[in-house]
Parts: sequence; C-alpha cells; structure tokens
Amino acid sequence: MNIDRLIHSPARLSIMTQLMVVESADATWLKGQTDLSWGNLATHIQKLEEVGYVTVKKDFVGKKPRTVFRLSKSGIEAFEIYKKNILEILQ
Amino acid sequence: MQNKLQQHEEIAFKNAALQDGIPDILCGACLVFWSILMIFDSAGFGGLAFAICFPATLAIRKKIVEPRIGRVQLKKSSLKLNHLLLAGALTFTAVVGVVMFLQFDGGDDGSSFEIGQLRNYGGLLFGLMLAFISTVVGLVWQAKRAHIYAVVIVASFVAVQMFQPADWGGMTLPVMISGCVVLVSGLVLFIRFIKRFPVVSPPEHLFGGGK
Repeated sequence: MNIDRLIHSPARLSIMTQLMVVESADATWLKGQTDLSWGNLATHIQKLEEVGYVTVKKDFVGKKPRTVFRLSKSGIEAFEIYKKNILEILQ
Repeated sequence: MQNKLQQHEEIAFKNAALQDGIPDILCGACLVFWSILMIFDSAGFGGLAFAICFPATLAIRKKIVEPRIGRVQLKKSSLKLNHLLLAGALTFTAVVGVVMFLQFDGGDDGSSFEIGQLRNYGGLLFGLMLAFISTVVGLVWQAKRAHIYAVVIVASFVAVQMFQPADWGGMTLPVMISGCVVLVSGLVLFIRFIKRFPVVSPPEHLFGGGK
C-alpha cells in the first residue's frame, strides 16, 4: 500500500487537515490550531509548498505583512488519496 | 474519518466565530438599549440601532480578533447552509411578529375573545419569539450558551408576566433583564478571550509578506 510519507508526518498531517476544513488560513491561525512552533510550522509548510500541496500568498494588510495558506488542487487530491489508503489499511 | 474532518470543521468554526463573545455583547447591548428606548416610548428605533451597530461591530471585531487567533476563511458550503437556516428563522419570526402586532395593536372593537386573551400574553409571546431566535442561533452555530440565553429570556418574560401582567407595555423589564444577562455573559467571554489570546505576530523572517 502506497502511503504518502509527506502527508503521513504528524505535523504535516495536522496542517493538511486544518487546511482541508477551511478555505484558507494564515500562519497565526495554523499555529494556534496545530500547536507547532513558528519554526516547525514554517519548515513543514515549506515542504508542503515545494511539492505543490499548499499555495502561499503573501501580501500586506496596511503596513503589516500577511501570509495566507490554502490547499492546492493537487493537495486536496493527495489528501483524499491518503485518506482512502489509510482507511483501507486500517479496515 | 469524514466525521473527524467534520468535527475539525466545526471546531474551526467555533474557534473563529464563537469564542470572543463580541456578538453576545452586541446583542445584549442592543437589547438593553432597546429596553431603554421602550421607556421613552421610542421602541421603533431599536432596529435602527442594531442595523447601525452590526456592521460597525463586525469591523471592530475583525481588528480585535484577527491579531490574536489569526485570519481564517471558512468553507463557503457550510456557511451558506447556516446563513440560509438563520435567514429562514429570522424571516419566520419577523412574519409572526408583524401578524401578532397587527392583531394585538388593534382596538378592542371587533376583536374576538381569543385575541383579547392572547393580547394579555403579548409580551410572553414576544419573549418566545426572541427565545426561538436564540435557540435557532444555538442550533445553527452549535453555541450551547444561546440555548441558555433562550431559557433566561423565557424565564424573565414568564416572571414579569406572573408578577406584573400586562400586554405590549410589559416588555421593557424582561427585555432589559435578558439584555443584561447576554451582555454580561459576552463581556466575561470577551475578557477571557483577551487574556487567553494575546496579540501575536508571526516572525517576519519565517512568514514575511510582500513576495
């Protein structure tokens, strides 16, 4: 059974799950929901961005920078496949 | 696993929309303000106050809440159903309210016995309508405290009806009591929220903007 190891890591699974249930979220929201440190969050988001599962949009609100994350189409597909595979293993 | 995802979605919604208490403060303050307007026979302006305060509060809320818990855009599909349910309940209540007003506000001439009896319970029926709205909000948004508000609203209207039977004029006190309870509850939630979630900003070298 082929399990996507990139999603299988607890931290990244947590990030993917959070992004799966919302349209988009910023770093503060993800940190609060996943309980990861800023450094960990940035590292795992970067890995997910590199494979194209997460899209990152950076802009400014007034003078403050804001980074918004959302799952890409391939990210959603990968998560669905991961979900199907893990359920097949467990059943 | 689908149920778990749904749970995550519900938790996300609760964390984003329900824990700051600002909507409670708005509703409570509007009810108290409305009851004060009733004292001065200007109850008709109550809706106007809500219409002005609602968008202003949303803007203020965004400024207070976002730096603390972050910005999240919830799924449109779940929000659409919630909004539809809420709009349906509010429309239904508004129609019932208008019908009741037209029935009860008429003169005694020509009113049937049943209408005359109902007029004595006008305040109570109005309280039930407010409680219905609160219950629907509680069900739609899964906010348990809205059910408690509904109980408080009904209890305050029943208490006033029991000790001071009156028709529409007897609404001031129960509306004020209900408003105060909702307002105080909202303030407690808001203070707890402010203490629990200090303002945080992501480190710029990790999450810098303006790519």
